[in-house]
Amino acid sequence: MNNFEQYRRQFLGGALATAGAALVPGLMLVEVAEGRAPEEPASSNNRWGLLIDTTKCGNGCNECVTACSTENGWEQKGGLQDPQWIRKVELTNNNTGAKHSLPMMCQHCEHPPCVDVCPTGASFKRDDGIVLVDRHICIGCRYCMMACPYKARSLVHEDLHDTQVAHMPRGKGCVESCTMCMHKIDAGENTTACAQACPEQAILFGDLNDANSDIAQRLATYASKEVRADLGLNTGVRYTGI
Amino acid sequence: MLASWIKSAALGILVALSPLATAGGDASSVPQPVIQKGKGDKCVEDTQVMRREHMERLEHHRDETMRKGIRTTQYSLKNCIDCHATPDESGQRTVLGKDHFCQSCHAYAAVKIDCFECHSSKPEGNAAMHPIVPAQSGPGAQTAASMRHHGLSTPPSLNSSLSVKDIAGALK
Repeated sequence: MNNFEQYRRQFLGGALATAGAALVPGLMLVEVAEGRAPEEPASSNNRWGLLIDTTKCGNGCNECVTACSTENGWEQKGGLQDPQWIRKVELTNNNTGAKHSLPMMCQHCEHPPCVDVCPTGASFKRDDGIVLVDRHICIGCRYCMMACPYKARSLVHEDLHDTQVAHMPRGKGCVESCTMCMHKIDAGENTTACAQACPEQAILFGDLNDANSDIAQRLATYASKEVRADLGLNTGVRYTGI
Repeated sequence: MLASWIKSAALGILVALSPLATAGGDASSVPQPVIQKGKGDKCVEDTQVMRREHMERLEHHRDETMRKGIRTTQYSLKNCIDCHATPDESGQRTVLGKDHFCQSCHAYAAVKIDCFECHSSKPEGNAAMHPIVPAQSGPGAQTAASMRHHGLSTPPSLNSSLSVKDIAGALK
């Protein structure tokens, strides 16, 4: 056990003891996250998605981008070759001058054009609707980058010199994009770094297939939009307020 | 007569050559790699099985994880690194570098490792606090700061002004 693990356990142990003392026995503060067992594959019973409320999304706020960068170990250098896991897009209505801001990332389409064009099968959609790049098979041809209507993919141009985080392998010559924090979903955390970091709670993560989930209920109640709905891709990321 | 002469000559040559043959085929004349094994005294399979088949196990598991999201730990590369990583001169645990687990044996066997062109060679705890994470913000920095606060060690690379002596002092 390393020092960090030891510290974490001590801290959690202390926190649990405090919570236990303050509560009636049998009452739990936080429900245990319902995740898959490690040996259980991702299932089409779920379809993970995000609902982004652009009326809450702040102009100039970059918290979701920073959180994604930290979580997945990519770096913004400010150039045309920057990773495109997530970026902020500022919109202005030419008639009224109203300004609008929203995060744009892989929209995790039901019918992803990036998967259609991939010559090697590296670009694929997991059973739970997450669109991914299998870097073991990616040859870096960048057809998917051209096919994506959202410009949500990017190529790693330079050697990363072993600076990757352990849960998110990345490498020179491969295309990459938002993974909807699949490592968190697989661990049963059922959230994404961007949703956790948003100070306005403008990003809601959830299961579109679960009628009782917050996201499904909000989608059923309020008007929402897909970006480029005309393409009929049935995106997993939806927006309200645009 | 001639046949027996040939026989004895051949035998003589064989006897003369045999020390050479022994010397050429003796594995001890090739320097064995020094391998730091890391923690634990038992791998997920028998050592002989792992030596011969680790690449197949890893490749199979890679597809299961990537394509289906199966996250069992037995044959996961992350699990290998967690156990087999040993500290380098700067105290960073890794499986790469001379005498470290993966590289020492692969150098001996003259087989290139592709894994670490994308995968981190360092275990999760340290990698989360890797210098790529901005020092002022982010959960990694917060964790590191709180660990420093509690007198626990942090990787020296996290903060360049922190010397190995400082860490040794904090641990005392």
